[in-house]
Amino acid sequence: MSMLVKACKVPFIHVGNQVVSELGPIVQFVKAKGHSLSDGLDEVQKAEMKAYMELVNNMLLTAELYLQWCDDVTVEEITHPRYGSPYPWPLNRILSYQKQWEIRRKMKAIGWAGKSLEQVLEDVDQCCQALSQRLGTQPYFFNKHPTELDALVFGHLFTILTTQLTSDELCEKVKNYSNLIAFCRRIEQQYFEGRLTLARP
Amino acid sequence: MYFSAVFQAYAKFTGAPLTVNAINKSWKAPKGEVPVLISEDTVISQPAKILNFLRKQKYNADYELTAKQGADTLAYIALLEEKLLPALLHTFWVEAENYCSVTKPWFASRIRFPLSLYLPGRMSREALNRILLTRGGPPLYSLTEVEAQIYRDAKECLNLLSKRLGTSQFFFGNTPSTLDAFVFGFLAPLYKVCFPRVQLQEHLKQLPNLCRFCDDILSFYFRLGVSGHSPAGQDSVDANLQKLTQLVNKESNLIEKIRLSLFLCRWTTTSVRALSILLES
Repeated sequence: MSMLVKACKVPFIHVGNQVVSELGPIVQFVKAKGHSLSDGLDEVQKAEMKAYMELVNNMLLTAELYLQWCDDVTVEEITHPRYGSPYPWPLNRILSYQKQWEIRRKMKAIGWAGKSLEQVLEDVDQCCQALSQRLGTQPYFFNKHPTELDALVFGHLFTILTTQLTSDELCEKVKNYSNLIAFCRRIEQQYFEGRLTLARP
Repeated sequence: MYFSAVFQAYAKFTGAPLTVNAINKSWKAPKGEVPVLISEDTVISQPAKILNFLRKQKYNADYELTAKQGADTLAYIALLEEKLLPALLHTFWVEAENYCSVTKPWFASRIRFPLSLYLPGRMSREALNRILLTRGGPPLYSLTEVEAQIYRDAKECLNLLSKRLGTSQFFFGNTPSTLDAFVFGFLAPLYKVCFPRVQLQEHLKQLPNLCRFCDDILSFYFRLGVSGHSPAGQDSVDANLQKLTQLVNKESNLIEKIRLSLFLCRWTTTSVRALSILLES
């Protein structure tokens, strides 16, 4: 399994002698096997779904990486210990510093290195506001049935809501939008039978 | 380059009294980067902040949009940045034939010697660096695999934009908005520049509604007709005067107080100027 992890990014699925990693390729692979959540959408809805998925990747994912690897307090207290925990010293420190350097290079390339934490949290708020407005009072983003977008948004929001960091600022940004909280709770109850732990107010 | 075209389009859509000042040394811009917006004592350099400032000054292209349409705008802009921008950077700055025969001489001609020998190369390396850092990594190991993937993604992005636009004049009805400015800013250089290696441009030209979208904005808002010349004569003068009079009557104090000037790196303005040259050819 460790060789597979080296060969591709997580998450990945291992089917027979095929290994498929990351959400996009996994969705395509599953679709090729005859299962798709977005077959019922028209072309404009599919375009919209993909655009919102890129919004999550562009803003929410980048903000999560920023907080984990560019906020000094979080890096020292949470990220370095967690990232290096499977490895013995000094490998734990070497690998975590290497990963930090890699992420910070990426942040610099996309223009996020100069942002302050407040600006990043503002971006998260803007993204959550857009998702909340798109979701409205519907159960899922495209009305009655979940799609890849629902899975992606749930994954990110649930992680933000349940991961303990040095401060609650990121979590509080998401909690400002009650329909997003209800969305996460709905999916947790319906598809995970409440086995995941989303804190109740 | 793309954001400069976006802001110019946005200013045209909203009637913001923008003065474009081209410079050929970006570090001499007020904040060391371009584009940058200066209004009296206020200096703003980040794209999102420039647009927010213009909106606060009541030059808001999204005034009539619903909340959902505003959210859609954000999502589609993210789609452009994630899926289209890497391939645009590659087409202009990394693809060797395009870079050597078009981009490098074009930009170098607008920069003073000896920086003309160094800066285009640096921009090319930065573009490649960005592509590899954001799109490289397992399971894509070689540059060829990364290039193939970014062009697949860019073509899919163009298809999605075409489906979303459909037969409408603009993305949200009959008046242009921020999203139209962004799509125009990203597509127009790709559409109009004559490259030797043209795979993405050829794909765009197979989407007639996106080509029509770019042509309409160029001809109506940038006053470039099919011949590539601005329609001369009294008609355009009268139209401009009428527009200015309306603005003065509406916001007389505001017009007097605000002097908006957009500093653009000299080489970024060549993108829009080149559109006019290429329309002639």
